[in-house]
Amino acid sequence: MAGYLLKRLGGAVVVLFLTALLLAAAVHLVPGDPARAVLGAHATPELIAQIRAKMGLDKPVAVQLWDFFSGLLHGDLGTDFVGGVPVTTLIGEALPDTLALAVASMILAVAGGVPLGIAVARRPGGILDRLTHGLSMIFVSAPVYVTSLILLLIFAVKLRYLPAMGAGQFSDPVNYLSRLILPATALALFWWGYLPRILRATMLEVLSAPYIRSARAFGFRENVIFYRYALRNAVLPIIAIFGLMVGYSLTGTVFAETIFGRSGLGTLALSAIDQRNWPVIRGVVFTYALFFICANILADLSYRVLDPRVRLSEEFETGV
Amino acid sequence: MSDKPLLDIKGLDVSYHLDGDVFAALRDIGLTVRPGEIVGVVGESGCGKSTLSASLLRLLPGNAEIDRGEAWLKGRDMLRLGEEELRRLRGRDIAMIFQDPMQSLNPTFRIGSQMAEAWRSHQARGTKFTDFRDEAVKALASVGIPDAAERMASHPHEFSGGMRQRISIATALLLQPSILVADEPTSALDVTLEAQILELLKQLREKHGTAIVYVSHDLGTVAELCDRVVVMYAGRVVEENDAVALFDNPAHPYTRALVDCVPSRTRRGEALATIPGRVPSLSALPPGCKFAQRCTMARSICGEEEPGLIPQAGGGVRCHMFDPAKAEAWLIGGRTPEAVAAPSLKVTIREPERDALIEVRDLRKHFGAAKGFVGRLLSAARPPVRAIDGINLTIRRGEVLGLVGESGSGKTTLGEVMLRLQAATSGEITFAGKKLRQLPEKEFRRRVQMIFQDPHASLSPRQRVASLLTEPYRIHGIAAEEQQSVDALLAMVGLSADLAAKFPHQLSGGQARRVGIARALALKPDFIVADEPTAGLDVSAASAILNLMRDLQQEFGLTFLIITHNINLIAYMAHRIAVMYLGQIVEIGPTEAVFDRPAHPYSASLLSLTSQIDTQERKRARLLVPGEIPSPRNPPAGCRFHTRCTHASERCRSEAPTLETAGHGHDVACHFWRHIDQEKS
Ligand SMILES: Nc1ncnc2c1ncn2[C@@H]1O[C@H](COP(=O)(O)OP(=O)(O)OP(=O)(O)O)[C@@H](O)[C@H]1O
Ligand code: SF4
Ligand code: SF4
Ligand SMILES: [Mg+2]
Repeated sequence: MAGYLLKRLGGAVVVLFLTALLLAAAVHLVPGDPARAVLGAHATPELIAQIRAKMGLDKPVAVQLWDFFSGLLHGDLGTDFVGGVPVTTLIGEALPDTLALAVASMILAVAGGVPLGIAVARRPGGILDRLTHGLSMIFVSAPVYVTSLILLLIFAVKLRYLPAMGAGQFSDPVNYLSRLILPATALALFWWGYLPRILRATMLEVLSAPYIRSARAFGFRENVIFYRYALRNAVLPIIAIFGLMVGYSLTGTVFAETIFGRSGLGTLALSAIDQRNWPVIRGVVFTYALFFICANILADLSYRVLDPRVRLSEEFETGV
Repeated sequence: MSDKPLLDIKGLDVSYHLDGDVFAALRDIGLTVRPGEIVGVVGESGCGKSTLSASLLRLLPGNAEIDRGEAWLKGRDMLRLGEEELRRLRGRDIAMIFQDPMQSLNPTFRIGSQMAEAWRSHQARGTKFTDFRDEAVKALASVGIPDAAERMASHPHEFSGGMRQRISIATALLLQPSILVADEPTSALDVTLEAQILELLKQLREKHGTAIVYVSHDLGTVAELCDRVVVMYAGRVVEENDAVALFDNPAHPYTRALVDCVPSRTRRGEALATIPGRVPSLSALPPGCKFAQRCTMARSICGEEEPGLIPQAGGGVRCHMFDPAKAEAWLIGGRTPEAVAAPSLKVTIREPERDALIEVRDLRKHFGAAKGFVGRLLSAARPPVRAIDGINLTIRRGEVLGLVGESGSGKTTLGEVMLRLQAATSGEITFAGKKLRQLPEKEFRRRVQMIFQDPHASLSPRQRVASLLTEPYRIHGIAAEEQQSVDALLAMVGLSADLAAKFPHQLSGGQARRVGIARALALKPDFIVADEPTAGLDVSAASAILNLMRDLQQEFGLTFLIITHNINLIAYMAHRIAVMYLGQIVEIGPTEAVFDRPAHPYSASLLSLTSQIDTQERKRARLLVPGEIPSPRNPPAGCRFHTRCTHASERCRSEAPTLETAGHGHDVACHFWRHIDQEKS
């Protein structure tokens, strides 16, 4: 297990390094000089050169990278070109709103998707199954910006049940939560379509496994077979999806934040891209990557703990 | 044994519904099981054995429907019980174990927890859990799981297939059902493990009086284990009788044919019977007797009227021939049908030539063997798998050598290394007097062929049979005038020419295997390695393959290495037998000599455990081999068999025996074979 963890962490470092490399290269590949973007079209060449030097853009890419990584080790992601604020501060301010949204959406996704999946698997071919089958198609194929807009229009603009714009303040939790509901639901809709289908399929597969028949032959209670025996094995593949889910939620927040006018990492990134504010872009992308990688490692580890078979094949792999 | 049946099935009809078609899987089934009785169910694949056994617990798949019938268990008709009442019967009154022990335990739960769940399912609420633990440990220990108390915390994958089947039996033991249904419980296991499981089942009956319904396509194990046997054909019971009477004196033409298909030592020198054709499709059954198309005794009435089960002493037969009112159609000159049975065809097994065709010296194959100095240092902690470890073997031209041993003993690897399908780690192979290194690869490939274990996997799925058969010619650039025609090749293996246009997936298992053989024969090879040539085939398809191989040997003097765990097959047609254990040959010699006086304790056990239909042959003592074959990664020191040998002594643990002669051409690797031999006689 320890060996496996080390391997995964090593892999994570490599991915982060490649991300940084790509971002450094992007500065040069993306059209538009960042210094000019910051200063506007009428800046003098001297001023531009000065700013470039301040940004460190005159140094060779290798040095830029080195600076970035050595900064990173000290928890320093550089300074915002425009406001002169440390990037970590900007991210620190934006992160809570984004995390709140992502976590809320994932809680909604699981809380809605898993019970629905179980109910559907309980009676395959039943009314609920047929009903969700059609709906799930729509949910899965509708992009976040569409679901966001529709929810916004119906529940905030037309019915005025919920506030429309902004993220609110932590200090007023009720208001804050009420502002989370719509964007989180917009993000969860996809999973309400997806999770029941997957769970239904894996449940039915597990329920037709020989060991389920054996359990019946020994007179196990049907509830035990379904909720203890089959569910555990059917949920395993879903845990593997958790990493995907984090990725989806994070990218989804970008749209949801824009449409609902929320502050957060997404909005921060978009304005930074607008301004060619490279340190901020780099910082935000890095944060995304970090969360994504951690989520995947976490999903993998819990899968391993829950499925004894994986532990075994792992031993074989590292052994040979 | 009381005479009142425990389980009484009457007039049971079961159909499967699939894509609008109705398959008549079971029709008019009657079956009784008395307390403590072991009832065998036999028949070819697809005759409804598993459907019947699942019906006994009403555990049928969703698309099955019980159309009619009664199933009385302890005074209640199971077919008319509610789900909850039925659940209470399952496990405690009637339990079932299945063929694939690898898949019949839930992989994500500890075995203790699975047994606990079974136990809890049948306890009144509030029963103390501590009682369970003691009982479970006792049950596991009694089926031979060592360190039972600790092993309860292990997951299924930490046990071997044999162990898992024991765990299933232990679970049954815990619930003490009055009937245990076992559907092919040993088909996935080696002879040694199969014998252990059969022994357990016998004990279950002796100690707890459990009645057993034992389903198998292997007539041998059924003959060994069962008191009474039911023969099924196309979803019907066609014969029922006491086991001894049924195998000694099969009445129904189908039973008789099945029994005559089975190779054995006593059948040596006779052609095996085959049953032409196949089980008819269950969605379009012919009127009349369902066996009529394949029956050598069929008369016109057989195609018109379906026979009922005609009562006989000890059981019944579903055949018009035994109906006194119709029997005259079969009387020839006043003689009874039995007397008319065709005499078996005598055949000879051609003697091998004097010269050696293939010779191997000190052959080794180690998987994961480290190369170079650094590699060896690094891999010190993980030794290689010694799949074959020092084999010396000579096969003469025209000889049939049978190679037996448990799975994991290295049989298939030896065959493949001999054919250079895998590179040897060390050792030398001589073929037709030339060192293999000096023989051009292409020429060698042309002169040796392999018949693979899985016929479908070894035939490319997108080629038609005709193209598959001529492919060897294209590969080797054989001139057209030297090629045999596709028709001739098909005819050689007894297949009709219209098969040439089919794709492999359109063939039955037996046909695919024959196409594999025809392909191997296309280049007129000198030497053929046949890996489990009959595994997975029905008795009749298997006997056809054996007849074919024997004919080829007789006609062309082909040389065969037959790798199998079916010892009866070797006894039937091999000149010599070699017994392998953990990568080494422990005994080799002429078939007759080895079967008469096996010198090595391991071969003696293997031979004694081989299931026999023949009542005489069955009277021998069965020498169980305890435990399981150790890992070839860490073979035991000294004699590799010492961990399981009942004769092992101090010397065996430290000193490895080498092959020494125990008779004419009969070699054995055991320090004490003389000793053991004297004890026996
Ligand atoms: N779920 C199913 N749906 C449709 N047909 C089925 C189903 N299960 C079995 N059958 C068919 O019912 C017949 C009897 O099958 P069954 O498995 O009982 O035979 P069997 O004697 O146990 O064969 P084997 O020796 O191969 O195990 C076969 O023709 C089979 O194809
Ligand atoms: S009834 Fe006729 S066809 Fe059927 S088994 Fe008897 S003899 Fe053969
Ligand atoms: S050498 Fe010893 S352990 Fe090996 S088979 Fe002979 S008696 Fe048994
Ligand atoms: Mg079956």
